[in-house]
Amino acid sequence: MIAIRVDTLCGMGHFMRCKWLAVELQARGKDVIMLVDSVLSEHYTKELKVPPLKVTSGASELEDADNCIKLFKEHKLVIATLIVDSYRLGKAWERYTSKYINNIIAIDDLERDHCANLVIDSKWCGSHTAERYKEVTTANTVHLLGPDYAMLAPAYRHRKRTFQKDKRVMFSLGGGGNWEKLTLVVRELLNKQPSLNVDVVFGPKAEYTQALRELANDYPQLQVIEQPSCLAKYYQRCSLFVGALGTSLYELAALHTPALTFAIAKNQSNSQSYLDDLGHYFHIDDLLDNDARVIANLVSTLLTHINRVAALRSKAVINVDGLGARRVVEAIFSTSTKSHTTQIQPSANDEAPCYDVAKDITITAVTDNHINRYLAARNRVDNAWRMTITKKIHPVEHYCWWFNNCRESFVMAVHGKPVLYIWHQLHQINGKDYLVGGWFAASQQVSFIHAQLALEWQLTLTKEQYPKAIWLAVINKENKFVNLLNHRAGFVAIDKEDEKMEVTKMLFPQATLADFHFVAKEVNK
Amino acid sequence: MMVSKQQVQTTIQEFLMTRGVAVDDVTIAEYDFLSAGALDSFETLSLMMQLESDYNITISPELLLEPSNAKVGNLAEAIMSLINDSNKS
Repeated sequence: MIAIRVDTLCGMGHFMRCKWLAVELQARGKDVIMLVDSVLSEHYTKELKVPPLKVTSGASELEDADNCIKLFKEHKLVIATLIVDSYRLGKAWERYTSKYINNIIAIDDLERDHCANLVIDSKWCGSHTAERYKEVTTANTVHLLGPDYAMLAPAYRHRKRTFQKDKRVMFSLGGGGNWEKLTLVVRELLNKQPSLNVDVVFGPKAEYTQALRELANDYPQLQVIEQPSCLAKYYQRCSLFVGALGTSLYELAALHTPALTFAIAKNQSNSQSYLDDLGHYFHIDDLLDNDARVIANLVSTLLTHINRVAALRSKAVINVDGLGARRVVEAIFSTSTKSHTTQIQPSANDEAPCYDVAKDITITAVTDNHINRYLAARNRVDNAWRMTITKKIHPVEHYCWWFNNCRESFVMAVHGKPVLYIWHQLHQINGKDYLVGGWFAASQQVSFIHAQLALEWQLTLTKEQYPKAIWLAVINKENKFVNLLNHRAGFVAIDKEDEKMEVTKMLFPQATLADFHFVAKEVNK
Repeated sequence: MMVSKQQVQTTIQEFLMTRGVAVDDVTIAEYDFLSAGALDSFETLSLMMQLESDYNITISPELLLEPSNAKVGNLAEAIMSLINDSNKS
């Protein structure tokens, strides 16, 4: 028999993934028993042939392990394989239980210490994924790592993105969560867009839900969904998911559902570049710390540009196919299981215009999949001091700006690795064409030579595209190099009485004459 | 204009001297001003602009993408090519 000890005190995420593993084991004819901390409604356990057993959660790992062993003896269960999924139970628990059971398997997300025979962690950490657990497990431990091992319900195996005629937003906090803040967000959203369809999904441990239930009385298109056993149909029918990251990350990836997520638990903090690899570009850890109106505005922005958000899903270089449970079962019963890490897929070409500027140096038009790298570069400390706005830009502000901006942005790459971003934008003011632009480093590898190459390329391009335009720029007085570079390129100081001075002040309201040189250049001079 | 590589090398040597970097005649050709950290981005650009002005040429930034061109002797050689091309046209 196979036993699975799973934590049900901290939401339903652990239980659900273990359940789908159990279902797959059952499909292979294996007897499975789950040990849980709390009684669960049949709603969640109906797929299990044997109802879960409640085990007394131990005050310590050893106590919990001992409680499990005692429970097996009490029920006369002969356990061949014991699987554990709990942040509270780690190496000490495994060591104790391994005295009684030969095969111990640990499911984790947090790269904790283990002495289990097999460790499964579906988290994607880029090129670091394969290195996880090497220092915290034994030499004999087999590792199955990455989203290939995300254990999802069978409903996620046949990916179908249904066409949504009317926009619908789905909110979820997983199995638990405090709904106070999201209630304010939903209220703001419905005030802005009264005809918007909204699904709100409550888990069994959801708190402060009364206000949303009352709101649903006022808005018939606001639907409250209570403790569904599977979220797949709700993910499929929504235009945009807004909620806590967690198991939803892989479920949303499998269904290509556009999403805006935030963190409410420690396993939900993720590096943005890893999430980008999964096609999930909009995760803000502290999203709920923002004003409800600000959050609602971001949701509206994403809805307005939902086609672009949805297109980003299709650029994922990590594929989630929903077959994780099957792979884990195959590994458990294979006699020759080796450690394996999910591999990155080659990305589809963006067909963005690309220019060769020098050997191994290209400049390519920026596409939406740069949205987070652009922000990360803009917020680099070595860039901020040069800008008119020196404070860090928050992702909420950035995302709203990104979908509404009219800049033409480009990225310079050396041997395929981005080194700087450069942009320009045309403004038509009082019947005249004006160009403004800028650039910022994307990496430590950028040199002044790259900056010079980029600027010369930009001036050549804009000369062709906007022959009548006048370039306007403000350059920090302390930036001697850029001042000289622009001088060499033909920029001259703008006279205080010149019409161009007023236009420049309007376009760069944060720049002061005390701190910046105001300069201009006719494109065709 | 008849210009020699030695002349160009001397221009660079004198530029370095005015920035407080003294390099003797024996070692100047092999002196790498970027690796030595002798010139920052502003000074390097200033040097290029002075060479452009003195010798009536245009220097592409690509020239310094080749790390060996930060050695004074090699840079002088590259500048000579530009001067010769400019004289031909």
